[in-house]
Formats: sequence, C-alpha cells, structure tokens
Amino acid sequence: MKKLIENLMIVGAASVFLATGLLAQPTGRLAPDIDGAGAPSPPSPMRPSMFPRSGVFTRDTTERSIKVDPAINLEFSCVVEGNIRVNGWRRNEVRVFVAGGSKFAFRTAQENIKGDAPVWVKVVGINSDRRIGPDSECLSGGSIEVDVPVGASIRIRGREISTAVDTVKKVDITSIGGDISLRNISAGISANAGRGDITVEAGKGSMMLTTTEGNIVVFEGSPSDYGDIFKANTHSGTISLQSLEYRQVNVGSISGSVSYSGPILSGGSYNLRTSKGSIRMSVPAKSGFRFWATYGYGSFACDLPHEIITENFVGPLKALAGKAGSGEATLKVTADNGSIAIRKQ
Amino acid sequence: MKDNCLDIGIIQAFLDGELSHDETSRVTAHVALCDKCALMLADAEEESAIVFPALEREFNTLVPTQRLWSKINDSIQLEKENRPVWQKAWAFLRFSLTSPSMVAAASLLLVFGVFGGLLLNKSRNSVDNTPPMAARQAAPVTPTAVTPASTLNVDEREVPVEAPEVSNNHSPVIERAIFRPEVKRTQRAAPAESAPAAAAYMPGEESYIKTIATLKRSVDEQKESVLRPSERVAFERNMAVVNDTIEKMRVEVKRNPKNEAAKQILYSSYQNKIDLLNSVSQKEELVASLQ
Repeated sequence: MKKLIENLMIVGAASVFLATGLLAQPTGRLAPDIDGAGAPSPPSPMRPSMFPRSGVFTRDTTERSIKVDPAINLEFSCVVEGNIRVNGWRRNEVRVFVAGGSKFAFRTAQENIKGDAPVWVKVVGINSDRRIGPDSECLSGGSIEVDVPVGASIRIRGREISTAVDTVKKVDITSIGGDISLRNISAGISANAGRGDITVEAGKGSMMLTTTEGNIVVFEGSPSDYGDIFKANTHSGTISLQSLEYRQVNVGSISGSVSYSGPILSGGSYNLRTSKGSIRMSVPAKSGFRFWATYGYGSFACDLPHEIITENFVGPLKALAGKAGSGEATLKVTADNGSIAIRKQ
Repeated sequence: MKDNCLDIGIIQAFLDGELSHDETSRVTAHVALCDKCALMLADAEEESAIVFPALEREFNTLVPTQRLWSKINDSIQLEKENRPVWQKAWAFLRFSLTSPSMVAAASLLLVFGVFGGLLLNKSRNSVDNTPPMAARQAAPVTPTAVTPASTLNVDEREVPVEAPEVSNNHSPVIERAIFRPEVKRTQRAAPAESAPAAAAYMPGEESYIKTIATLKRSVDEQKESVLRPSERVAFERNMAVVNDTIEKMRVEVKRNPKNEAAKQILYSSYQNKIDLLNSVSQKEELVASLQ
C-alpha cells in the first residue's frame, strides 16, 4: 500500500512536471482562423518537432500592391511555408495576395534613377504577436499569389514552400523542401530545392538547378546570351533534359539516371555524369562530336555512325574515346555503375 | 542485411526519435542498404506526415498516454535496479531491526564472528615462523634456470625480477626465479608512417581527403538534427555509393597508375563526397537564416 502511494506520488509529480514543460514550451502552432476569411492551409508535410518554427503566425488574408519600375527586383527573404505562385503581367505594379497567413508589408530597398519608382522591394512578414525574441520578418501563408511586371527578377528563400513562377525575367529560388516549377523565364534561373523536384519549361538564360533529393526535368531551354551555361545536379534523383540549346551543359547525379534528348550543337561541350545509374542520349542523326565514354559494370551503345579511337578495358572500368560525324562538339559521358546509350532521334 | 529486415515497430520508433543513438545509427545503416526497409520507412513517414498534423491537437493535450505510463514505470524500475548497494543494505538492515528475533540472531552472529576472528589470528601467529615468500625467492638460483638473453629474440627476452635480499638462518629453498616479460618500449613512429602515407596519395588527393575529413567532422555533429530520417537515409545511401566508387577507383589507380579514366572518376567522386557533405552544412545554414 505504501509502495502504491509512493508510485502514485512519483507518477503525479511526473505528470505535473510534464504538463508544466508543455505549457512553458512555445509550440509554434498556427493560431486558429479568427476571421474565417482565409482559406485553410493544407496540412504541412513537416513534422512539428523537426524544425522549430520562428514564432506564432496568425492566419490573415492580406492584399497589397505597389507601383514599381518595370525591371523590379522583388525579394521574399524568408517564407516559412506556403504555396507561392508568381505570375508576370504587363503592368508596372506588384500585387501580393496572402491567404491564410501572416500579414506583410513592402519595404523599398532602392529606387530607380529618376526616383519615381522602386527597383528593389522586399516583402516582409509582420508578426507582432511573436512571443519570444525579436519580431520575425518571415512570411507564412497557405497561398501566396504574386503578380509582377514581366521584366521582374524574383528572389525567394523559403523553408517548406511549393513554388511556381511564370513569365518573369529572372528567378533565384532556394528552399529546404518543396517543388519548384518554372515556366517562361527569359534571362536566367537559379533554383535550389533541398528536397523537391525542379521543373523548368521554356526557360532562357543561364540555368543552375540543384536539388538534394528530387528529380530535375527541363523542357526547352536555351541561352539568352552568348556563353550561357546549363548546369543541373541532384544527389538522389533522375535528370531529364529535352530540347536544350546550350553549348555548355554540365549534368550530374549521384544515384539517378540522366536522360538527354536534343541537339548536340557545334562547338558545344557536354558533360553528363552519374555514379549509379544509366545515361541515355537521343540526338539528331547528323550530330557531330568527339566523345569520351567511361563506364563500369555496364555497356556502351551508339546508334550513330562512329569510330572508336582508343579503347581501354582495365578491370571493371571501360573507357572509350571516339568520334561521330564531323566531331565539332565534345561529349563526355561517365557512368560509374551503369550503361551509356547514344541513340538516333 | 536483407535477411534481418526491420519490423514496423522499430521503424515507427525510429521516426518518433525513440531509439538510442546506436540503434538509430544501425537502422540508418540498414535502411541505406535495404530497399524494402527504405520503402517501408518512406511509407511510414508519409503516413506520419498525414496523421501528425491531423492529430496535432490531440497530441498536445495534457493527458498522460499509455506510452508515458510505461515510460514512467520503466524509469521507476530502472531506478530501483540502479540503487547503490549500500542503500539496499541499509534498507535490509532497517527492515531486519524491526524484528526482535532477527536482532537476537544478528547479535549471536556478531559474537561468534568476533571470537572466530580472535582464534584465527592467534593460530596464524603461531604458524607464521616460515620465511616469507620474498625471502624464499631471494635464495640462490641455479644458473641453468635462466636462458641467456643473447640467444633470445628481443621480444622474447625475459628479465629477472629483483627481489630484496633478506638474510635468514633457515636452510635455503632452491626455486626457479620468477620472470616477467620485458615491457616493449617501441616508440610510435608517427612521422615515419605518415611519410609513406603521404607518398601514397596521388597529386591533389591529399587536399581532397583533408577537406573531406574536416567537413565530415562538422557534418557528423549536424546531420542528426538537420536531416529528417528519410533524408538521412538518402544521404547515407549516396555516401555509400560515393565511398564504394572511391574505394574501387583507388584500387584501380593503385593497380594501374596510368589509368586516367579511373583517376578522373576518383577525383569526381571526391568532389561528389564534398558536395554531399556541403549540402548538409548549407541546409543547416539555410535553416538558421530562416528563423
């Protein structure tokens, strides 16, 4: 009986201790929808304990617009979560609509030479009800819609965000999690999705696409200036490239296949590499290139008329050097553990 | 590894962060190599991702769950087991002293113990006329008992134990001297070893290795907190792929130093490894900047 009382006392003390700890800990949960105007945000894929959130965000619906220079540089320096959609329009105005998220404000960082319109604007969150620490400038929203001039450059840094950008000049996006989808970007893309897929359609300019855990798909890409390069890297994922018109292509995956379908341009330099996976290329029949193919535990096949200049079969590694057509471009394909196939289109 | 696949309970505990550090490492290593378990983990994580937000309110209510109860009971049990011996003895003594019969028995035992001790001491004093062991060892030793040191290898050489000289009047007892092996005093030839190791590197390889070692140290501290379980699995899997390639290419280059293709793959793999490690650091920085 005495033991029972003792155990009960311990259990009671532990419960009280636990309850006190939970009450004292900032939960970082979204506050309930007060006005009901905001659309309910989708359930966050992030587990609550993995990344402690910055503070407590209210769920508001806010819309703001500002007159800007046509070559505006719009920056979202911290977006905690949400689906972001950016669309280019033919008006010198930026409009931001946040549904089910934090309030926000425009902060002008720089004006144009005439001094009549901002050229650099930051969108910052207003979270005055943050309980601990300084006010956060992070934006949070179930849905964030942005309209910008077509000549705008967009810069977004976010945590768990799904981003879609259409018809703007330049894009620079970095996120920890979430997919990035880009379309009709006219002068350069830099996209870094920690955990998510990157899809680019009809993009122009230099492209630097990196994802740690996700696939990269590019359909129709071309340089906007001479010497623009295309670079795509993933650690775990497949890279699929179609109709690229770059003369410098650098692609790599650690554990994933690489697929390239498009022209091999004269004077171009193409470097495709995977550590664990195959490389498949589909090129026009009249393509001309010199190639260096290195592969282990796989095979090499080339449908195009070609000649092998050197062969080196030592151990598990096989290295071939050859020439197809006029040989004006250089193609370097390396599959450490996989096959290489160059097919006719 | 595929023979002893993980059960769903362990995977769930892994996701919930309830496993110990060693167990977590074991699970991570296993999942990195076993597709079946990796799939199971991904499924479980997806389910958790759906279930957790839905049940967030329930999780945050202050009702002690069954798991909490069992944890509390386990802690009590553990505390009981870990109680020091003197505490247990004191508890036993306290319990025993409450009974008069036990007190009487203890008193009797004490008295017998004291008498017994006195008697034993007396008998030892009477018997203790023989020379001590040290004196016996100091007795003359037949020279044949010692193997000449010069005929032995350095490692096998034995050194006689020096015993203090004790003079006594008793007849000498001839015994073989006790030997103990000489303590090896081989100095660590660290610089001498590092020189050939450095010479074993290919040009530029050492800088890669040093960079990787530096990055790895910081990443090993970070990855537990920065990467999710599924990310950690992917990270370990990619690291295994890269390490495997490095190992193969190193062997290949060692066998045939003129194999340029192998060298290039080796360097690319080193770069991949650096990129992999860097990705963790970059993520950590990004997480910190987005507070």
